[in-house]
Amino acid sequence: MNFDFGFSVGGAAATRAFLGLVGAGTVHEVRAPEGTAGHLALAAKLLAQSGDTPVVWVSTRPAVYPAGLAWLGLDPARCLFAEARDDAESFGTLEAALRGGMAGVAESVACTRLAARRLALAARQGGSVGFLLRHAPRQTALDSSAFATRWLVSPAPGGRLLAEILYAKGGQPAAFFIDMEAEHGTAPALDLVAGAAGWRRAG
Amino acid sequence: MGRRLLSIWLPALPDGGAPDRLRKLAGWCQKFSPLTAVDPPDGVLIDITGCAHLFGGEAALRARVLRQLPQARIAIADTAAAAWALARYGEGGSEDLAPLPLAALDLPARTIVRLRRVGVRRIGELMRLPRAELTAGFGAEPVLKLQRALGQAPEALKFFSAPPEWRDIAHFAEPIFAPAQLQAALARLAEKLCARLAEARLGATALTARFYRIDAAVPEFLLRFAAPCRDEFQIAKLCKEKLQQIDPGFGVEAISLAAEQTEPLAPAQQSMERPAPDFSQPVNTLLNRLDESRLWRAAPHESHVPEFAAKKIPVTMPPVPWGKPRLKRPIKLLRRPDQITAIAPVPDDPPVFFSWRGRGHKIMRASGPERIAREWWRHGQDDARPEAEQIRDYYEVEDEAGARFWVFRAGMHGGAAPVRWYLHGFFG
Repeated sequence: MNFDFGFSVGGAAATRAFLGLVGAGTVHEVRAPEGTAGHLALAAKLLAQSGDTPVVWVSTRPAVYPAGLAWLGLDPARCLFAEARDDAESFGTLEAALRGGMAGVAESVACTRLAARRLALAARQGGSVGFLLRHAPRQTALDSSAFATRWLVSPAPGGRLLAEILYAKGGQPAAFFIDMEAEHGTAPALDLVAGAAGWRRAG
Repeated sequence: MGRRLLSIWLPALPDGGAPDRLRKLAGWCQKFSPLTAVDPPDGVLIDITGCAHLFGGEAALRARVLRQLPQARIAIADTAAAAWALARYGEGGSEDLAPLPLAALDLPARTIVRLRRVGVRRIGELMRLPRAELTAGFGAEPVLKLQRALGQAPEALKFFSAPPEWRDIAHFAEPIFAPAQLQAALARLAEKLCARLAEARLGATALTARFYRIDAAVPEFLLRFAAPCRDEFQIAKLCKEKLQQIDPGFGVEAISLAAEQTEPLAPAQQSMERPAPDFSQPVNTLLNRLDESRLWRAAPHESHVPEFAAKKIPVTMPPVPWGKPRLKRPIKLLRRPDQITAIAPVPDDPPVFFSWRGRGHKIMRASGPERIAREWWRHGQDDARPEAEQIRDYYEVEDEAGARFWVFRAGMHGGAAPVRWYLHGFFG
């Protein structure tokens, strides 16, 4: 799976940072505050650029709207939707999909370190890209470094999302404004936020 | 009305009446009646009790069978033995057994010779003799066969049910119940079945594994495939996951693996280049783990009402292409719109403030409305609430933090019912 982002703004550093992060064989944790869906939108926007690998969306309460995926440029015909009984089944479904080479997105409430490691291993074996979406604060007691990156996506005024990289394996944390209103079906337009607060080199 | 049985005799079977051929013929004859039996070495028996009228009566049925099997001789009688005798020795469609020779009773040659010696040549002559003396002089067989032909003694008929074509069964000398043993047995069965399917260039789309327990229970599981499959390793792996559902009880005597549905699957050409990615394996795994109700594809549906604009289709069906959307839609849509308390200028402005789940959201930006009317042709007429009021006005609103919601107003100000506000989706 090759991600080909046509970056227009943000400069070479942002481009390098992004391209190095969301590559084949990685799983990413994307967090969002309660009552928002920015993490879903970011995952859809990123997967829209990832060729034509099938994508599995799994959740205990599936609420992803296919027409909304189409609006963000991700063809719903590529997608499979799964309903899990609990978080454990969500992880199992995502793991099977990633191991088989499909891209996957799972929504869950919590995530243990063991689950994170298993997902990362499955993605590495399958050479696929996975996203684990949670409503969670910036920092929790069980933050795992098995994921390639950890993001916090919060809404930003003006139809944008503020995507902060809280942790990146072998990379620098950074923050981007992603313009979701930019022409749909194309790569997200990125703005590197200069001097965003709260950066730390996560370990 | 008693039973009616039809006997087919094939005097000139091309390959000398091989058992396979008779079984095939018996299976084919099941189009006339579900009860058919092979009658070795060269015949087939059909129980047509209550079936003849479906083919226009016995005469028409007889004509039809003869038309399709022109080299056969057939007869219909009340008992299997009588039908057997009439098919081989009968003349002119008469059901009278009396004029038939003794050979028609399928008696041993020695008995026939002895009976001929005392002047008994035909069945009618045999019928006139006292039964007790006949038994004393010639053994039990002539009387028993005669009684069977006349319907006075029970006949044992072994009817035949067509075996499923793609079924393999393993019998065990001792009952087994250890998971490792069951897994190994299923893996061997899968290998056998896949080898046969490969010869026939077929792939299974549904497999059933049945476990014949010693206490007469037969637990089973069904495997579904998104695409035709004859990969024994994949089948064995899927069986291993499904085995957790099976309770072997005190032991399993036999296991069968049957392909209930098959589809053509051409053999794959091995190539030096990297093959095109095939995602059927993870999809099969998910399909069997979650079953069909919890794994689906989304297909577009002709409806303006957002919650009906997508419908679920099974993953075994090919994906339906989606067009480029005409209007902006949220990424997340609530299954049921959630009622909110909103403050909005009348008559049809977007809200300036709304409260959802105890949290207030001050609206900074809004766009809309997009008016979506009810599909009136699907609903009954309600005089109290005119159709003009059965509308939703959707607005995309952004609160002071930048979170964007899809809210709608149901109804109109000044209408028969007060307006209600709902939250229906999230953009980000």
